[in-house]
Amino acid sequence: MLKYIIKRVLQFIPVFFGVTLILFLIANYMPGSDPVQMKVGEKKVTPELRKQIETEYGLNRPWYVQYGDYLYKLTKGDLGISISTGRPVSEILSEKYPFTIKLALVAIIFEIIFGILAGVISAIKQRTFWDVFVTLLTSISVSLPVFWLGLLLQYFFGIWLKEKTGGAFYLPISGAEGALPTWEYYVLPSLTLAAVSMAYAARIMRSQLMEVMSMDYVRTARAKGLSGRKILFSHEMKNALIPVVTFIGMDFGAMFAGAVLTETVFNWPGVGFTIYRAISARDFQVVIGGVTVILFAVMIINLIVDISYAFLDPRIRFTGSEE
Amino acid sequence: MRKRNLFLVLALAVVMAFALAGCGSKTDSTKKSGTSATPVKGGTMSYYIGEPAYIDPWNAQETEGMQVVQAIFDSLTTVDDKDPSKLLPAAADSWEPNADATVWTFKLNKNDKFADGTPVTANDFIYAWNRLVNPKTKNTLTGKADPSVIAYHLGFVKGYDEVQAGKAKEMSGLKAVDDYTLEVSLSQPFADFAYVVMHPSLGPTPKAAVEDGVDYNGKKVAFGDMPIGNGPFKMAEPWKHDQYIKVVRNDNYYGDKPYIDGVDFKIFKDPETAYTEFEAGNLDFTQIGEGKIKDAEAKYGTSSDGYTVNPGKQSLLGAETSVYYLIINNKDKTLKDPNVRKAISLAINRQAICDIVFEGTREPADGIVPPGIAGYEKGTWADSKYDIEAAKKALADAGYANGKGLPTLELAFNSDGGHEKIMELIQADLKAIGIKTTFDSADFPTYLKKLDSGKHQLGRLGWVADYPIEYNFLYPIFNSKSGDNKSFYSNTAVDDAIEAAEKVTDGDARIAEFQKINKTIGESNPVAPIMFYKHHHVGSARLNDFMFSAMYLANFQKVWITPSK
Repeated sequence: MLKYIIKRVLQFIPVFFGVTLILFLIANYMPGSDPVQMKVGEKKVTPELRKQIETEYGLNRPWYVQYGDYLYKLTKGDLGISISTGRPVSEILSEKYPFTIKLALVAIIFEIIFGILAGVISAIKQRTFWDVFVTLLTSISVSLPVFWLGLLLQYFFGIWLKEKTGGAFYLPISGAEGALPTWEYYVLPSLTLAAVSMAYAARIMRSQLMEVMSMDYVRTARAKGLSGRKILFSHEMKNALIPVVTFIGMDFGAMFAGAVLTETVFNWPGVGFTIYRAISARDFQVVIGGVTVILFAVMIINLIVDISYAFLDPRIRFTGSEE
Repeated sequence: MRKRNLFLVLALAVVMAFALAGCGSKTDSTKKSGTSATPVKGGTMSYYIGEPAYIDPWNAQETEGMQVVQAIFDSLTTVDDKDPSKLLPAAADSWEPNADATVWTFKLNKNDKFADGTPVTANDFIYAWNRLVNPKTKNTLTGKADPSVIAYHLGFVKGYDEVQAGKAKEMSGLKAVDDYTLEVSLSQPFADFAYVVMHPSLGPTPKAAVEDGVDYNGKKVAFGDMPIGNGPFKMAEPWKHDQYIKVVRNDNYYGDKPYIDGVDFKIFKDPETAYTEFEAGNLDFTQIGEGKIKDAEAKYGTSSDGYTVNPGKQSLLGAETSVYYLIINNKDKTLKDPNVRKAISLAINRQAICDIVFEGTREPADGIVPPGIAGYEKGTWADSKYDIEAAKKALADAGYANGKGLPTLELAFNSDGGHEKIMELIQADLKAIGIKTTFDSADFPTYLKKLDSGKHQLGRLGWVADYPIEYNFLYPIFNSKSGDNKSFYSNTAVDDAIEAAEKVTDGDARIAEFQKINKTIGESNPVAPIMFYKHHHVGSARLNDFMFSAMYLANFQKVWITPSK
């Protein structure tokens, strides 16, 4: 197991260098990558001002020197300074990540509970009203644009309901006041963020469970006289869950990159919009810093997901393992 | 199977949301219009902004940060919200230039204090201004040098070049005659200088707070996150990035104290979300969402002057001091003919662009100088209008009747920012008189490089006024030495006239000079002004006398909030 983890971490090294190198090359050679102009706006940047900013932000150095500097600073946990705002990138990201993670966690819980539950219901109640209902709902959910779903929820829970109940019941439609927003603030954005994945999780769960249900060992268990519930939980679910866990795990990793649309519609102070805005402003320090954090997060989450297989399926053994 | 029920409730809620979303919303638009009540003290106003880049005035330039800066800082002068040609005293009680407008003496208000109670003196202005100009000025958030992008405001002050070049740390032209007398020597005559110093970023800053940090709850906070100024409001707590900036009434303020207790600048990523919040009753002032102007006017009523919000007259559609114009390269071998330029300008149906692309939130430009600028006159540029017959005639006068013999022109623009729709209409308008064009679009920096290189023929740019004076348009856009003159218009008579006008210390006489210069420039159509920007903002029904000026600055000093019952 340890060997496996070490191997996975070693595999991460070329990924890390590959991604960051490409970013540095883009930052330096992509046409239009001119953070100084973007900082100034539509006005002409005088050569003097350009020189001043490039000197202070170290943009006048060759890209490989900048890259070396980035690597050196990274070892000290320093991600550089944002050109557009003059703030330390690590400060910007550490401000946004708690919000991104909190939202992702709630969304994942929605995904796990409702996605899996819906999949199980429609698999065990095949070709009934509930099966059709879940299939229909997941089809709608997958095909709805995220921002549109967000807007619908905002209008329904934030405006319509507030008016109908005379302000007695409604949900906040945007923002996250303070460091620890109250639960109401999470409902709509996390539902929106989880909507598509919840539908996929339900569909994967349904098809996997149906496949497992037709397996010989399930028939054997039934012949043994085990109860339906016992079969479902100790035999069918365990095997059917593996692809679902993979999917949800990957999804959780992806959420670390932030959710630009959901964050925009709900004005959530997360990392996705920050990186998006940095890209528009050609603020590469923030982009590279953000991507670095995402790289590490995704690596760790993927590793955890892979390891969790072993618990779900005893047949899975990691290469290099002595057991 | 309790869980199943929970799922059902959720599923039903989603389905209901689809079904009911079409129902729309009704807001309390039935409030009576007009107010006659006397102002009431109290209440906090919430105000939409995007995340500012800086709120430390040394580097605040974009509209977002400026709203906050002008609430917490007062500059030497200010202008009347409704008539920007009227200069008013602010931190300076009075000012006087010498005979050729090279030395300015500002007498400061002796009651002016920073929010922490320390008096504002001439040295606080000198410190603030040197901070702005010195490229080695440290950003208080990082402790590292961060050159200000707005140093140019003080470009006329003696010693500016030396400080910019790193040869000196302080501008030689700034002198504190005594605590309350600031003397500014300029390197050339500039009679509009009192307008320049109204810029919100040119307020005083307290040296101690900048260098040691600001006390907040027993901790030191960087000045950049919690600036201390001399304005009507002060920061209530440090800037919560991407969430909010809260300011409260400054009891040490020397001027008329605001009625409201404070302003919550709520930070949104997107004006559409802010407008949804406004509709839900959670925001007092915001931009109107795209495509919803008519809807907002119907629901909330329209302000009578375009700039003031009162109950029932809440949508603001007044013109802003900014212009969108078509660049015509005056050095191009085809476009150097003034008749071709005239034909282009006359061929463009500006009203159609404003209506089709902007739902009436822009106003056709009748010259390069927008309303709201001191000396603005209607119809200054005779050819800045839609007259297809006159356009055809001008093209024929140039020897290209119906476009015959005229080479295809290239219309360049930046691909971001939604300019393509405007360019398509312009392209069709030009085609109607026989001028064929092709598009060349690129990302913004690449596009600007092209404009710098002079290899363009037609292009676009916008210009937003820093100060409400004609100089602020005519010099940058048309002076032969200006870096922002992308049409390469070059007329020594105009260059000289602008310089001469800035020696005229009498305000009305100077304005008259600039009006003449503006007309002269307009006669040769060096650019084709397309439209002026307009407000597309709305305030809530509880706001009274809230003023959002043509300069895009909110006046929180006069607004009062109707108390809720």
